[in-house]
Amino acid sequence: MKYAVSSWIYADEPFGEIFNRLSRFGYDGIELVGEPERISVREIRTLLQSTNLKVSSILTWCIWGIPGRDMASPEREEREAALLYGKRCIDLAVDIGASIVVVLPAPAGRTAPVGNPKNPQLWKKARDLEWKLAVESIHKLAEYAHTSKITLALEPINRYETYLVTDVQSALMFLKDVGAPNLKLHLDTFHMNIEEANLNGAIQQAGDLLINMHISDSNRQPPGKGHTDFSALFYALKEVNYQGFLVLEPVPSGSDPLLMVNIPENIDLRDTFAQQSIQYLKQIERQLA
Amino acid sequence: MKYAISNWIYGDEPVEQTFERLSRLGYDGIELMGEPKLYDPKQIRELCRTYGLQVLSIAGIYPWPTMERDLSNPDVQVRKYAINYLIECVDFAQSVESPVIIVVPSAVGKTSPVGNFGDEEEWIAASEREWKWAVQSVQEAAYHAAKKGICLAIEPINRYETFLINTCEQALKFIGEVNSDAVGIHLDSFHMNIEEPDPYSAIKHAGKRLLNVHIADSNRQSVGRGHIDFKSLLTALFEIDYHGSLALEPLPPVSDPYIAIRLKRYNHLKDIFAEESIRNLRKIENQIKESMA
Repeated sequence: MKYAVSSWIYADEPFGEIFNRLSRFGYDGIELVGEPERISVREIRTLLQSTNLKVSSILTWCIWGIPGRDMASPEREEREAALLYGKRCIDLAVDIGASIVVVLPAPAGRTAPVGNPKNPQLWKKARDLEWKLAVESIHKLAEYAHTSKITLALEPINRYETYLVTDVQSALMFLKDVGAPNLKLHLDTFHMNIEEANLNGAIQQAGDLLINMHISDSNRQPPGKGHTDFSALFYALKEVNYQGFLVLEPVPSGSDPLLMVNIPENIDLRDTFAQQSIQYLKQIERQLA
Repeated sequence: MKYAISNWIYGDEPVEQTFERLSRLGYDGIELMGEPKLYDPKQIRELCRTYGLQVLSIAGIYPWPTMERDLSNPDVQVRKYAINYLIECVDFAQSVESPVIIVVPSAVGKTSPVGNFGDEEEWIAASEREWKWAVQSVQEAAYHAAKKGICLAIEPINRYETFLINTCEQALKFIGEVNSDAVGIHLDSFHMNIEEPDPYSAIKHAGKRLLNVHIADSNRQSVGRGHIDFKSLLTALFEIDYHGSLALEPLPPVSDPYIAIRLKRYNHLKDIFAEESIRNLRKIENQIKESMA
C-alpha cells in the first residue's frame, strides 16, 4: 500500500515541516488541501523533489460557511463560484502533477437543503432540486477535468456533515446521474463506520470505482485507537485490487477537529499520530502477507 | 433484559398507539420523552395497566439553541431554568413510576461552549467553566431526585452533538465530581460506535453505575441493519449484571432524525423496525444465555 497524510490536519503549519515529517516516518505521499491561492506551486515542486513524496490527491475544501464552495446551492452565483473554485483545484493538480481531485456534492457542514424547510414535503422537494444542481455542477467540473486528464473522486461523508451523499449507495446513484467516465469514488473509514452497514460490503460495492481513501479509526484517531477492523479493510481492498493511496487523517477526539489539532498541548501529537498510524497499518499488512 | 422503545422516534404519534405497538410486539416498557406537559400521568398509568407495560425511563430533551434546558450555560438564569426543567421531570417520573431520567449535561447540538473565542486556549477555558457549571446544576437536580427516589443518568453523546461529554470515561469523571448516589450513567450503542475505543470495555468500565441504555445499530437503524457487535455488548451487560432497560431508538434511513420521523413514507417502518429489533436482540440474548449455561 502507498501511504499519505492529508495536509488539513496540520492546519497552518509550513509545508516544509509537513513534508519533512511524512518523509521521516516513511510515507509515500501527501494529500494537499485545495487552496490554490495559498499554495506556492514552486515550493511544493521543490519539496516533492527533495523528499521524494508524491501528491496523492487534491482535497477540495468545500466547507459550509466559506463562500463560493457550494456546488449544490440553489443560488446560481454561488454554484458558478464553486465551479470556478473546482477548476482552480484541477489546475493546481495539473501544476503539481497530481491526478486525483476529491470533490463533495455539497459542502461539509450543511446538513439540510438551503433554507431548511420545516415541512417534510418541501424539504424533500428542496433536496431533489439540490441533488439535480449538484449533478450539473459536478458534470461540468468532470468535463473540465477530462481535458486536463484529471480524475474526480466523489466523497460520501456522514450525516452530521451533509445530507446529500452519505454512503456508497447514494454516491453510486450520484455517479450514475452525472454519467462521466472520469468521476469515480473516494471512501473514508471514519464516515463509513457511521454510515455503511458493512465496511467490506461497501468496498465491494465500490469495486474498481474506488480510487482514493481517507483512513482513520472509528473515533477519527490513528488506526489502532478505535475499533475499526483494519485487517478486514485490507482484505477488502485486495479483493477490489485497490491501487490508490491510503490517505491518513488521524486527529484527537473532540467536537471541532480543526480546533483540536491547534491546541498547543496537541502539537506533539502530529508526530506521534503520523508515526503510530503508518506503523500500525504496515504491521497489519505484514501479518496478512 | 427489559426492552423498551423511546417514543420520541414516533414524533407526534398518539401515545396510546405507541403503547399498543410495544405491547403487541412483546416489549416490557416504554421510554417517554421528558415533556411533562405533553402527558397526563393518570392516562399513562392507565395505559401501563391496560397494555401491561412500565415506563422504564424518561428521556430528558435538551435541544440547542435553548434558554431553558442548558445545564452548563454561563448564564445563571438559563441554568436555573434547566434545573427547574429537570425537577419537573423528576416529579413527572415519580407520577408515572419511572425509576430514571436521562440527563445530557450540555444542550444537544451545542458543539462549542457559549461565546466567541480568540484562540484555542480560551475555548478550552470556557469549556472547563461549563463543565463546572454542569456539575453544579446536576448536583442541585440530584438533591431533588434523591428525595423522590429517582435516579439521573448522564448520557455521553457523540462529538457532532456536544462538546462536553462524548465518552464513558468523561461521564465517569463527571459523576465522580457530582458525587451523588442518585446519579449514574446512560450509554448509547450508536454514540459509542463513534466515540468509544472499545464499546465492550466502556460498558464494563461503567459497571454498577450504568442505569440505562439506548440501542440502535451503527447507522441508527434497527438492530441487524448495521455492523455493531451486539453479542459483545450484551455479553458485557450480562457480565456487569445489568438490570436496567434497553431502550431502542431505531430510525428510518434519513440523515436528519427529526425529518425522518415526520416523513409519512416511512410510517410502515415503525412496526417493522420495532419487531425486528427485539427479535434480533432476544435471539442474541438467548445465544449468550445458552453459552453461559
